[in-house]
Amino acid sequence: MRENEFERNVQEQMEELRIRPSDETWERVEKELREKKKRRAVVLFFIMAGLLLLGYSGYTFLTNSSNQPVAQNEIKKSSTLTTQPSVNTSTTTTNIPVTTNNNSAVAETPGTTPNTNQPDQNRNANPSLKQETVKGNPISPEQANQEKNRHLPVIVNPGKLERVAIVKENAADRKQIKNAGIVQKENNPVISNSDETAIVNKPLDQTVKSPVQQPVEKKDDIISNGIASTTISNNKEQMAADSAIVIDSTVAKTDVNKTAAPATEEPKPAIAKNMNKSKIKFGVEVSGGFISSQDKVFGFNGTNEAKSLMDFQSSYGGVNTPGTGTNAPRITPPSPVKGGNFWKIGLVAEKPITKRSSLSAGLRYTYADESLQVGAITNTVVYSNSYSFAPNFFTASGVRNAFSSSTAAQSAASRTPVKYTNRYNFIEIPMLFQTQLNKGKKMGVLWNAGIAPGFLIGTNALVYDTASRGVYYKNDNAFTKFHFNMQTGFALQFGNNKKIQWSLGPTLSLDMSRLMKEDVFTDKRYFLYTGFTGRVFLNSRKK
Amino acid sequence: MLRYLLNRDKRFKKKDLKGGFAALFLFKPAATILLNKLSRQYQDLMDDQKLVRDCLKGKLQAQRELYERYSEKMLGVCYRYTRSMRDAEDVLQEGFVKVFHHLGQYKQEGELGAWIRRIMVNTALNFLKRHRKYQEEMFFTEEYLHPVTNDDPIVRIQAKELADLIRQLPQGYQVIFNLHAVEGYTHVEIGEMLGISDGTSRSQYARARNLLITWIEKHSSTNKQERYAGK
Repeated sequence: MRENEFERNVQEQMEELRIRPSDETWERVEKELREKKKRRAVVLFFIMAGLLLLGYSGYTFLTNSSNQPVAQNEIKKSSTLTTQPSVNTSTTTTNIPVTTNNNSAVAETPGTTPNTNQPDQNRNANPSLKQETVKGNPISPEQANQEKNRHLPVIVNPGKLERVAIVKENAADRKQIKNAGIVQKENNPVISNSDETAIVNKPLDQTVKSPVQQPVEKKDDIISNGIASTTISNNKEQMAADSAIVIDSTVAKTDVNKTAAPATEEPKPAIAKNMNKSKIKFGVEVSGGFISSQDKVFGFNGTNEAKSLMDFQSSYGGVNTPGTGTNAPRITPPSPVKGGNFWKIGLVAEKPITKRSSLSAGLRYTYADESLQVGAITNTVVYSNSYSFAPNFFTASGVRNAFSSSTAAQSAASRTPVKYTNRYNFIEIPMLFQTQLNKGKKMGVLWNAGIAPGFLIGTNALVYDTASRGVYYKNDNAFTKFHFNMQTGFALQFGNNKKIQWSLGPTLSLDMSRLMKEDVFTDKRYFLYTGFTGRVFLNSRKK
Repeated sequence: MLRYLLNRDKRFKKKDLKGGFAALFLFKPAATILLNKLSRQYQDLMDDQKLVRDCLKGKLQAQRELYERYSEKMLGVCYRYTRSMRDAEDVLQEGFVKVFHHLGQYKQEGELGAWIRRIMVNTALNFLKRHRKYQEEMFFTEEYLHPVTNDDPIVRIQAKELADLIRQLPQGYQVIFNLHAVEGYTHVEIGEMLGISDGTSRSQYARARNLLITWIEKHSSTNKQERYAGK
């Protein structure tokens, strides 16, 4: 009893103990409270921004996919053509069809001074130069049909043309080219459009002879068709995650506290909790979904694929020379690129930093693809208008364009465009901050945000070029190697108390880096990944 | 008849009034005291609840009022666990930030003061664990159990003086003494909180208690002499 008396006396004395804190203490408390409010506001802002981003991207993605056919129709409409007798002024080509766009409301004046190929040479030499006037001649209905499918390129030659090989052209070929009127310079090779026409006319004649047998993917046939006159080589090269109020549950048991004790807010032992917090979890992350490209980083409106044909041609040349009746070669615009799928797989390590938030980092592989339609493979040696080397060329739908005669166009129309898939392979290092939004222990609602620097390890993607009236070719160096992604998402987490913990939810990732180093003939493109991410973690011990 | 009735009513009223006044006169002091006490308690409870609600709404004035209401008492708690007033105020500050941050977890079933006190004690313990200068003194070695002496002195010293004596105990003793003697934790609970065995807690407490009793005796004997001399 006496022992208890001492303790009771001490307790009573201590209950009376009151010390007035300095005014500074409250000021410091107030300051910290304000800072926490700010932090909370920032977190809330990011959550809201993430939600909006996710919602908006989902909306735009759905809208874009439903609008795509409409955009194509618009192009078709804009390229509706009227027929008018064509005039031939070229020495090597005859009956080149001339185009007039109804929308442009510009009528061609036949019979004016014939324009030579000089301006086109200039255009090819300096693609940035734009032609001010856009005029064209009406063409025949067959060509009109072709124009409708103009943005659907046709394949050509999967083989790789190497520049070295170009130099090794045999004399006979050279002669042939010269005869066709090609002006080719060794140091700065530029081919005039008319000359190109001449070059391509050759195979055209062959194609005309056997229009039905145009096996789009069989290069042997193409070679046998005589296109090989300028063929150099056909190398088959395939490209590929405290201070927890340590309000210990061991309730302070002063007399007063005993009456106040029952609260469920009583905390659990701090020591045990801290041990759990410091554990690093390892797991696997898998995600997949749709990829789309946009012309602005935060555009979310896709690329401006519905650019009018005439606008394009007026920018890069290739429209008919006004009032001359001259049939200057037209440039086929790039084919619209249709977003494809992506999937990512990788290892991830997660370290809890507070009760409900964690940091994670990992390493993952990302595959993404998109598709476009190209024309037939051409074996023509064409020099890029933007890059100093163009080892492999795929003509855009303009293969037909390249051919000047109407009969050729007819035969080209029978060709079916080939779907080409651009494949991209990345290695990424995702670093994410993750926080649980709810207080639930069984199922957590998580929000995460972070960055994912990446490296493009390989791609077989095609690059568009206005050379030879529109070609596609492979060029790894044209693509940005280092990419910087911003990522956010939500997830539902299950199995917190079980050995296997997993989470699944929507993710949105935005590539802040341009896809191509230099977008000369096409709009800038940035990848937008929309999909789902799943994570599986192995808890080292059961609670 | 009507007059009778009216007069009867008047008489009635007078009687009632007299009786009422008498009753009031007799019981007023007792009733007033009782009512005042009850209303004060109720008022405190309601005030706390209202204060908590306002704090949760983010009203800075309510937060300031809550701080003013409990800061002196809580600094007394923090003072017992630390060695300097500066450290005590640091713990108080950290503790109140936690209080405001986790006020949503307070379910208003127990007393707010007790809830805040628990937070302060735990914040103080965390503070001691974090700081090396305290950690070095926090040795909890297993020692034999000292028998508790029965010659307890009558604690006649002032609260502040007693608190100062407690603060002079070695850090490990100080913490265990505070937790057991003042806060009322059992040795098992203390063992869990500090990561030591309950036996260690017991032995440390016994040593702390003996030491403190010796100091209090010394302190009170000098005070006694002064007081008795004065009387």
